[in-house]
Amino acid sequence: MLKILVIEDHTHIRQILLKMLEVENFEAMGAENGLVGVELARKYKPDLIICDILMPKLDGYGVLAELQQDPDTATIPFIFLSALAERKDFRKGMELGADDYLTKPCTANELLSAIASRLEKQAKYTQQEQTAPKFPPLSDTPEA
Amino acid sequence: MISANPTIMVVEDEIIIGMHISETLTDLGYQVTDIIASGEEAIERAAELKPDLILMDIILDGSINGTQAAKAIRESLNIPVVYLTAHTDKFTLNLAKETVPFGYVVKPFTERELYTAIEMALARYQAETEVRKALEAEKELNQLKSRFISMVSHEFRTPLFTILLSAGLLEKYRFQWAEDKKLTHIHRIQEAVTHMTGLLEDVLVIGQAEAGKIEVNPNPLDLKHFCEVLTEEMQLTADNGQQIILVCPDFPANTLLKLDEKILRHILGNLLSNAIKYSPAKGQIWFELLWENETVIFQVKDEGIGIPLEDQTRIFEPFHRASNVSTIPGTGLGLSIVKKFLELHGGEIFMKSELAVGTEFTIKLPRNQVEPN
Repeated sequence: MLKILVIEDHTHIRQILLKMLEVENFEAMGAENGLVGVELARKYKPDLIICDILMPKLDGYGVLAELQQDPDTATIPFIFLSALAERKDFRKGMELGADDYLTKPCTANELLSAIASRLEKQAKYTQQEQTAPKFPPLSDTPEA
Repeated sequence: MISANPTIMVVEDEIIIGMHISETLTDLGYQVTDIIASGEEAIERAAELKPDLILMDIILDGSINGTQAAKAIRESLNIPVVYLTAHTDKFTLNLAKETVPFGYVVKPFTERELYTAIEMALARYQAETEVRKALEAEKELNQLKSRFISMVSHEFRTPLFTILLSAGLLEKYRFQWAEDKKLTHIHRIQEAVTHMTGLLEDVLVIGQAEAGKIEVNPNPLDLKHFCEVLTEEMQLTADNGQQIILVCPDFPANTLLKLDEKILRHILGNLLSNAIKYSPAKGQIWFELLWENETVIFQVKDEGIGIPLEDQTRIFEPFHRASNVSTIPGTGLGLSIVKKFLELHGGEIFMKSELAVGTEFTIKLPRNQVEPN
């Protein structure tokens, strides 16, 4: 079962999202602020992270920046889900390394398809890494 | 802003004429900061001395003339310039006009001509400065307004998202979900709509207050009776057995005070409903009414969750809610409205709070609002 971490300070929204992910057969976990989010991401290495931006303690940008520093968490697909709907906010998120940026309000289907496409792409990356032929040993390398 | 003895810088390349001008100005009661012969030096010295006015000759020593120096000074320092020159030909006049001078005095001048020209220039400069200040204040207000609008739209997105998500889930899983689960989502939608309605109402109140559309109508009010009725009303809204205890020991009964009942109800109602909202079940709330020399004091004290220290300074800002409110509903506008209303009524508000111990709000209304009948 794939693990998804939801970092969102609005309790109602967090609960609805967790419920929805559960129904969709994900293993879902919630964090009520950025600091807890980073901690859970490091501890459980989820397969995908959904993250709000405006949050107490550590905001979503801060969460992403933290996770990008650590190679173990840097490649986890990361989707911003924010009420900040201005172009500059969106660009900032993408430039920090987000994989997608949805603005509230969005529909359940929009969010679920965003998750599905991120996971699909991630699966392809993983597969590619496994099936790509390895370089031959150094001694056999043809002379230039 | 312009002192009783305005400072004037004289730019004149003929030293004798310069000294004559300077003497005349001193006789007229002005302070002469400097007599300067070149345009370049004039620009430099004006920046250092910042005189109230500059008297500028047009033909000067150095590579730039008086109009060029005036233009540079106007652009960088915004000091009024009055030309003082023998030239009245069209070409010179056109050059001078382009720099929008505050006056143009033709040599030879009489003391009276110089005096009136300087006085008119100083008066016009002062008037322009006031207009500029008003414009800046207006600009600042507009920035505040657009920031408020962006905050409001942001605040609406969260409940809208709740509605859209819950409705989406109901649509998707309507055949597989049990009734109680469906009801949960239906209730969430209803709560979100209630929240948005509250938000809308609060935003409208703030808008009215900002636009100066809320009138203060002080009328004789029996304050003790008013507080008793308000306490009863608010008690009915306490769903979890919280108890409001009205305390007004020394407050004289049947004393009529001139206060706006509607505004006062809004202020105190808001503080009491906050106290109820953030109190534990069966928590006690003290609503105290005091009379101190020249002031009426209201105190609302609860045993609730308290306000964290880092939120205390920002608690009256629009949309700022304490970090420990969890799922307790609220718009984050209540206290900013209270503060605004108190300003209308000439009152003050103070807050004391300790996390997990409780919060105490104190309101003081001054005596000029309160006339014993």
